[in-house]
Amino acid sequence: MKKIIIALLILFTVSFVIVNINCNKFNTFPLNIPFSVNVEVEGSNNPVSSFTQYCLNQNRTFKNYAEKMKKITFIEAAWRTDSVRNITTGTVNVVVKIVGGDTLFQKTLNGTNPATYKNMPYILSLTAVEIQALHNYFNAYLKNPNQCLEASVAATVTNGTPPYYLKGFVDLVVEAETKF
Amino acid sequence: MQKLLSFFVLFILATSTSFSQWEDRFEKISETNVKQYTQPFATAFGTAMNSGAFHSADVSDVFGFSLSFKGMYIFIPDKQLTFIPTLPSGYTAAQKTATIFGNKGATYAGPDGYITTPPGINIKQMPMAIPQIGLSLLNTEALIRYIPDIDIEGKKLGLFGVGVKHSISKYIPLIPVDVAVQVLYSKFKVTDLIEVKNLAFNAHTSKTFGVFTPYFGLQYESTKLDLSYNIKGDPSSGDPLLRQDKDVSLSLDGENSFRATFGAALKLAVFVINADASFGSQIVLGGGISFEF
Repeated sequence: MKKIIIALLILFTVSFVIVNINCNKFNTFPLNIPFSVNVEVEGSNNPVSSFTQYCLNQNRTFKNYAEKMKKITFIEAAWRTDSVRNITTGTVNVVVKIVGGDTLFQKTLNGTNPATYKNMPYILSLTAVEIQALHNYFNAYLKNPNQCLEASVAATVTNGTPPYYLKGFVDLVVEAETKF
Repeated sequence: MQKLLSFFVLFILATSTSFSQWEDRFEKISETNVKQYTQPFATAFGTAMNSGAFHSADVSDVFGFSLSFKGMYIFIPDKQLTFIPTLPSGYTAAQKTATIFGNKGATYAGPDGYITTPPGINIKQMPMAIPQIGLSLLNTEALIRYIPDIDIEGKKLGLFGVGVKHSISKYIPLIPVDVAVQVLYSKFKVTDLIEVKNLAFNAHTSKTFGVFTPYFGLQYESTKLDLSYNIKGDPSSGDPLLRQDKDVSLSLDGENSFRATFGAALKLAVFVINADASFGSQIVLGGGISFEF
């Protein structure tokens, strides 16, 4: 009888360990964080350009979870037009770089009507090198949240009337592996 | 016995820690999608709570007592790991996203920026364990499931369940098998987060051959889950429903409604070990150890 009781205790101990292994999955939280950098270009020059700086800790979700984040992975980026005036066709060049540092990615939307991307953003297809550069940047930011991003937009107008105006967003989504 | 009880307290503590982390997932999902996100949990948890109520249809006609520890292992079907979310105008749900049991959340580009949905906990099986006590008298058995309130991070977690079982075969002379009917009610609660109420009716039969008792049961059951959570709004969210802080409360029903259970028990003096499989909305493997006389 004693052996049976011991066997049953072992059975339940094993079950308990299995249960705990499963419960540990709750301890990791792959949180998707979207953020947008607003860039507004205006003027009569052609090309017309501007830039905006953005620090990740301006994002409320990032700020709430920053201390618990272990790793950040880039998911997707897009260009989204908010409003446009006097530009019918042109080339929009989007550059995202570290302030005072390396360029992370650069994409050109050739011969486009920027208004097209008001309803459906243009998904920016990044190369493996660009994605790796973003990974490196985001994870370095976790350790040293001093270097912010700079998004710049240059619009070369081929069909339009000055003064030109283009306001849009560089949208990004990252996945933060968050532990508890 | 003290050790076994300790295991169950630890189990509940481990599980409850998990519950407190649910809030971080829920705060990122709108009231439009939270029902589909949570539905598989209501089904799985209800299925578990409605399991393990019998391992024999033989009910003592004098006096009987049992102390049991029941374990369940619920298999989550693939179709309950993802769902197609409802998105605001201008967005297309081109990809599925995770339910609470799924893996990663999804990302949807649209006119107001990206909308993201929360991840699940990435499990395809859910284990559960429940302690219970049975008292039988005059062909009727009362079943009690109880775990006292446990404080976890300012929330209280508790379980209460009660069941009544009555032998039918005692009224049928010369019937070769034992037959019983049972009703079971249980409530599990984590304050300010979740409350799950379960109700089950079953008829089951068994036949004892020495120490071996095969059993079979048919059960109708229901589960109602009430959920309360807080959305931590982000003014820049692409989803208008996620831009402001707000409290959300909702009720939903589990998809568990009917099941068939097949199992067998082995009685070794005052100890009984049993194992069974139930087939319903989700498949459950169950097992238990009982001290009974």
